[in-house]
Amino acid sequence: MTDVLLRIKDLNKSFGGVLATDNVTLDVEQGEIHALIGPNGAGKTTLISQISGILESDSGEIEFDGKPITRLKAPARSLMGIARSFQITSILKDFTCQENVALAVQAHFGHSFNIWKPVASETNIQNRAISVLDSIGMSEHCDTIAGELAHGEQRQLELAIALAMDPKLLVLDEPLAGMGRLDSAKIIEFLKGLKQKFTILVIEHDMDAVFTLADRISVMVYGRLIASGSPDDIRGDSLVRSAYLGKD
Amino acid sequence: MLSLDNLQNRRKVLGVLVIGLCALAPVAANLLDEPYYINLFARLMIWAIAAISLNLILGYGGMISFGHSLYLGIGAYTVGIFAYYDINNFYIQLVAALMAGFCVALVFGSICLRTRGVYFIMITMALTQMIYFLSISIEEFGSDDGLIIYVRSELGTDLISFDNPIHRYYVIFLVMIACLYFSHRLIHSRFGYVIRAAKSNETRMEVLGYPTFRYRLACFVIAGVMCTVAGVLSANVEKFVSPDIMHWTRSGELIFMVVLGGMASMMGPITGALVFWLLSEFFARITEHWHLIFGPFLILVVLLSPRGIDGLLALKRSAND
Repeated sequence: MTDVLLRIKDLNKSFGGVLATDNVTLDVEQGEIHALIGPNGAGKTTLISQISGILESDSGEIEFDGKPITRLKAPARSLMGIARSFQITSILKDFTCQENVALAVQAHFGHSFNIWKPVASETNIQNRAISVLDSIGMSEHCDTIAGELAHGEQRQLELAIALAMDPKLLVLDEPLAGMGRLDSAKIIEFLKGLKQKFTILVIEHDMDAVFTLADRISVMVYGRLIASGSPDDIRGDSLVRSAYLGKD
Repeated sequence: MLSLDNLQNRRKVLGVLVIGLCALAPVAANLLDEPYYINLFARLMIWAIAAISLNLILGYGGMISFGHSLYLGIGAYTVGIFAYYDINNFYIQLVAALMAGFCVALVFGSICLRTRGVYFIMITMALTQMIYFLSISIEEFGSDDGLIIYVRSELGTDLISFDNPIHRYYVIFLVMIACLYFSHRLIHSRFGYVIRAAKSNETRMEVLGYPTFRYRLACFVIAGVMCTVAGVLSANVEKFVSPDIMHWTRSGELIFMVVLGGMASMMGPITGALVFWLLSEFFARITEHWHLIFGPFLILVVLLSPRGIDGLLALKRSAND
């Protein structure tokens, strides 16, 4: 019996007449990498927006770490240990990489109503930010303005920001989106290394990455979860093949 | 030797020039035998303080308040009303004004900050206009004729007095420097980073774990209270307060000053206030209908240099490179 970190039960969300999340029930177990795949427009991003609290759910329950979080707003969920990265890079482009990461660290270092002490002099925050950037191989970019980074590096920074929150659950929305082959390989290796430390729910279109990394895979089509299981199960599932993988 | 090729250095030079001008204006006025300029510059610095406070929410926080002159009014009317009841102690007046500014900013902020964009602009303006009309309707305090203040605030010491124009001037000057220093500390603090980051990406900040509403509200209140101080000083320069001080066009002028000087730049509000006044004087000499020229001019500035004068400083660098 493994522990379930994130439990989603009968979750719904509709936009106008469109059911973006249709009665989704899903468990993410402690320590696993759980991949969420599905064609474009399947509602994957909507689902993780509901998990991170950016979108309110119409109905259903979300439980995290044994506590119901359905009614909690995004900041509260974040403080409980859910970190989310974005598909469309949403780093703060006018800030340096270190400032970007430091803001994530700072959020989990007590309140930020100190209006007097320069944040640059808060060594515990800065040191942690530097070590996170270092761990992802970006230490030479500490003082680089984030907007001036190459696309692949911006994606890396996006990941660094999520990691800096030291989360229990890392929710990644297409961490490899728009990355070249080399950069992708680097990030896949890096994510492998995170396997022991974090529980990860990841959306990804790169099937090589998904089948290399994931312990379990869930497939979403038109807002519904049509299958969930080990990579081998998913590869062999006829429903999935026809809906998603069946093109070749 | 400072190299002007560097943006930071150019900013420093501009800062020293502007602050030096403010510091020495009374000396120059005496040399030129034009004491009129002392009050004029005092007024300018009061605008600058109000603009510094607006820059905190508008420039750094991205909250376009079209009602910031309300806090000038609260500060000035507090002094006026206390003086009306013969309570002339500066410190009592100041504390009362700050408390009033605090409470109003807290209540209005928590209403306005639930909206975004154009709605925020409109509701800040509407709430300020509400208080504007309230001040017009109270006959006891002069309604739209305004309230004459017979006795300036008493500082409780013989050394400095608001009745002495030079003393008054340097008190205002020091308050302006203090506000500048305070906002410098604020924007580099943890709080400042949260405010600036929430301006560029609020969703991101929520997901990071920041309840952004609280931080924005705190910033809104800080800006309101700082502007209240400008109002208190204004009442002591003018010995008069009228509803005009919080008319929505005043709020608009404050926005122009911030935009002209350069949003989210340290010296922006002060240079903005200075240039705004110089230009309005200049255009007013050309024609009576100077607003007709001034308006398009401001639009031109925003189009050509969205970051105002501070943006021009940065522009020169890229031309040189």
